[in-house]
Amino acid sequence: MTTSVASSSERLHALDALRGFALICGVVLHAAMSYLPGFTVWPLLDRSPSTALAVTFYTIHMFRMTTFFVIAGFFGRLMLERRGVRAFVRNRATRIVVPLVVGWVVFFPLIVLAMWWGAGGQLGAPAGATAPPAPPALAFPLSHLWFLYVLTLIYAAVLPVHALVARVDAGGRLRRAADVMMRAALAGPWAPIVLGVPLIGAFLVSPWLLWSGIPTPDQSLIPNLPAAVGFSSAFAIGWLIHRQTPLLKTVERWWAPYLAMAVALTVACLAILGPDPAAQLSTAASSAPLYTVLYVAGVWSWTLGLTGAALRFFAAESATRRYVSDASYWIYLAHLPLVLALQAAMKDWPLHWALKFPLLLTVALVLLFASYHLLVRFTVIGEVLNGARRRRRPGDDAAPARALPPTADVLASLTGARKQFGTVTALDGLTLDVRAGELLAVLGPNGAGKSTAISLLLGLLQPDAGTATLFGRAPLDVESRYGVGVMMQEVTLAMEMTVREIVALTTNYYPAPMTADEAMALTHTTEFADRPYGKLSSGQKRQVQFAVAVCGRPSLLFLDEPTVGLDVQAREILWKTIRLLLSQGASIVLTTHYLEEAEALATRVAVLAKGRLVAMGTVDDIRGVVSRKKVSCLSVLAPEQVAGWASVDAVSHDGRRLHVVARDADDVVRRLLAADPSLRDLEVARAGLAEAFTEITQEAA
Amino acid sequence: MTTMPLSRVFGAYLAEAGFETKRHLKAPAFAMPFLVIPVALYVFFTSLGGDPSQAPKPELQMPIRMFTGFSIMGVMGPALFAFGMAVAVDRDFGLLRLKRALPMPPMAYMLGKMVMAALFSALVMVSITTAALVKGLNLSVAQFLAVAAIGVVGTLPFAAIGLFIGAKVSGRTAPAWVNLAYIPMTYLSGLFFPVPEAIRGLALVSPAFHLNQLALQAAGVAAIMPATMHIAALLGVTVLFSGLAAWRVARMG
Repeated sequence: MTTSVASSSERLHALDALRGFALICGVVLHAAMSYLPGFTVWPLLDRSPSTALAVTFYTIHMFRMTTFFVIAGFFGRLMLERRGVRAFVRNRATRIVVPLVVGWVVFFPLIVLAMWWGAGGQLGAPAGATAPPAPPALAFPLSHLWFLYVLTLIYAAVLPVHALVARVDAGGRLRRAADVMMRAALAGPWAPIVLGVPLIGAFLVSPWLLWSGIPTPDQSLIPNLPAAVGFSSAFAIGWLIHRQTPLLKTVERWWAPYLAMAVALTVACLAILGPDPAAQLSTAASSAPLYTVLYVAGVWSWTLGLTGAALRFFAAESATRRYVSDASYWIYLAHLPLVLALQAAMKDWPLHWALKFPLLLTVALVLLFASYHLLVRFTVIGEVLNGARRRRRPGDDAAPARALPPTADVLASLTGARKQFGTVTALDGLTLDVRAGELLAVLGPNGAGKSTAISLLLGLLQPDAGTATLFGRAPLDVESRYGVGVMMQEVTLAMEMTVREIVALTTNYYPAPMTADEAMALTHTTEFADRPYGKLSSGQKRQVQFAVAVCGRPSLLFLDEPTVGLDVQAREILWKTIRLLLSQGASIVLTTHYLEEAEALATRVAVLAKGRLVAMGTVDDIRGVVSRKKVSCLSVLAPEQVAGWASVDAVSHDGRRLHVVARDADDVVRRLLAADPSLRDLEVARAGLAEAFTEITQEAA
Repeated sequence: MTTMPLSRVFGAYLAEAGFETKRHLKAPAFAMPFLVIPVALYVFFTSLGGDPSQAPKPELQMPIRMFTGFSIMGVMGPALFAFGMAVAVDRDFGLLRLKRALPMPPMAYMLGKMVMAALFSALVMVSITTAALVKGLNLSVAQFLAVAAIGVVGTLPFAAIGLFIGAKVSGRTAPAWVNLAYIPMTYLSGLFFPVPEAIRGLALVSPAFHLNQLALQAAGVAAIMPATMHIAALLGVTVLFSGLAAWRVARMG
């Protein structure tokens, strides 16, 4: 099994790299466009036109978006299968829809500005006002972001189709038939034609500019027919390939013949049309049907050939390719205004295109990569485009790996968690588990890191290093918090609202909550149920916060210093309720700086000081630890002689002095003096934990 | 792992919106100035000008411009002030932190506030429309309804900006920041008088300008840009700022 896992992730690296390649090809394509002889579609024409760049443009345009949509289909199904509908929707909304909308708002004005500048300030009219003679229905200048818009439409269609297929084709017969057809389609050299059938059909029924290939659907909210059919069929083919990933092996095996076919078909197409973009052959020409078939076969030969080549040569993970493919999304989104501005600046330079074009491309890519590295990679933009990424820190590798996967027994855990606030280290590599059915008391003085630890477990803060999990997931997932109730320090609930309204609202967040009345009865808040929260005493407010914490029947309850500000009677009530919830099987994490509170309630106690775990165990263990002392002296006794003595926990010798940690220091000192009359320079001190407790007791006093 | 049926998730959104609405209705003083001032100003300025049919440039259609201008100003107020400041205060009180720790659906708090803002805008639109009717503004019923609908839906970009400010600054400094957004936006958008030629381009980045243009088009004034561009700009502002606010709240509280 391990090999198949490894090879499938290798394939993903290959496709990821290919997607990055297709996007960066887009930058090359647009950069080339001002050099196309007589290509008036583009607003800026350079004084040094180039047939070579026209052919480059023609070739890239043939495959780049079809390839992109095949990969999008492949990854689309992968995500839907792995993460489910909700995560799919959420992820696609973040990665595609947000960049579409925000990207348009940010980049479209810049594009208009660059074109305006390039035209010598003659465009005059505001953005979009220069409507073409016959604007299409629902005209809208999507600009180069049209592919995100088309993807959004496809995603919106995929979900209902997916659900419908699951319902209609419950036995899977339809889907098996589709799988058989895909295998047959990819089994031989006919693949480029078979996969292109939908696109050929669309080209035959709608007029198109032969030289410009699939018409770019960037003018209207309704994509033109060839684009709609071409890109959605590419998406569907990627989707179907993901249904049976062995097909990727076939594609990989045939990479060289496909690419050879692609080159031959491209040459044949250009032979029919001529390399001059201005000489538009119309769909009425007698050679148009032949051209259409050759062109579409070329589209798919390139797509299959490049996919195969990527699988063949770029399967292994590579940090560089990873970086480039991460950067490519931003680069593509941001490139157009910059490329236009550079084209505008350079178009009248008296230089040959063979100098200008490489210069333009280099400057554009350097600036785009720099902007990615400085503005995007580690910021919210990068997080939206590519997912969260953390800057590597020196201590990262030192974070202890979790030896065992979290068992069902562990409800929440921190592993090597570090958190820094400015120069203050709040948590310094804390590892902590919360187990089912226990009350874990987290004990420590103010500033020990108790609240920070809880904030990490709840996803309120992100660790600088290490990990936090909640029910085996990332704490940021809402789903992982359905089982969680929380009572925090220093919270003011909605002042105007009554206790009943506040508790009732909170019950709505949970899958199977108590009623508000049940929650209020449990927490003894019924008597002031109809008073506004702002009019309650501070003790009553804490009780209401407790009601808010328990009303969702959480299986894991976080109580951060719950008894601060309560009078003795209210504290007793709270303790009683906590014990009741424990007996019903809930797990509780309770922070406190009262040893007494931990003793009264805890199954286990974790003692924190200065962001570290200084002790962990049952209440009895901790009590034993607290009374330990450290004895040190100059003595001739060997550590082995002392180690066996009653109440001695640890012995060491640093070459000069003997160190003994013992629970009953008085007794050990007596025996040491008896055993070694020459003993000198005796010191007795509290052990480290006891120092922590001194602070605790001092604060409590 | 427990999951939650979608109907209950939806219920949670609904409950949050209801809760927010009730909360602000219980403390109406918070939003009241923003309800009253635009109507008062509208009545004051329309009473100054005398007979509009005798105005020097009737082709400017000043009565309609006054109506839409004060309407847009009216919907901006509650959205920016009441809700931006309310979020800042909730943050200061630790309430947002608690809600983030609870399994509240991630956008429920924001959407609740936005629904609330839209409701207050509806109140503004009802009062200004009533005033316009009393003043005898010559628009059809459909046009009045269209302007009102644009005003109410048009609250969203301002609510998003308000939420973003509220998510970014403390309750004490929020009013200053909100004013910094509100006052320039009101003047640069040409709500009441034409913007000087030199800085007219700045209006393009102001949601108030786009919303006002939509309202003017609905009231029959000739368009200077296609409506889709205005809608796209408003949508973009809404998504951008609510996204930033949600992100900020999700990460930093």
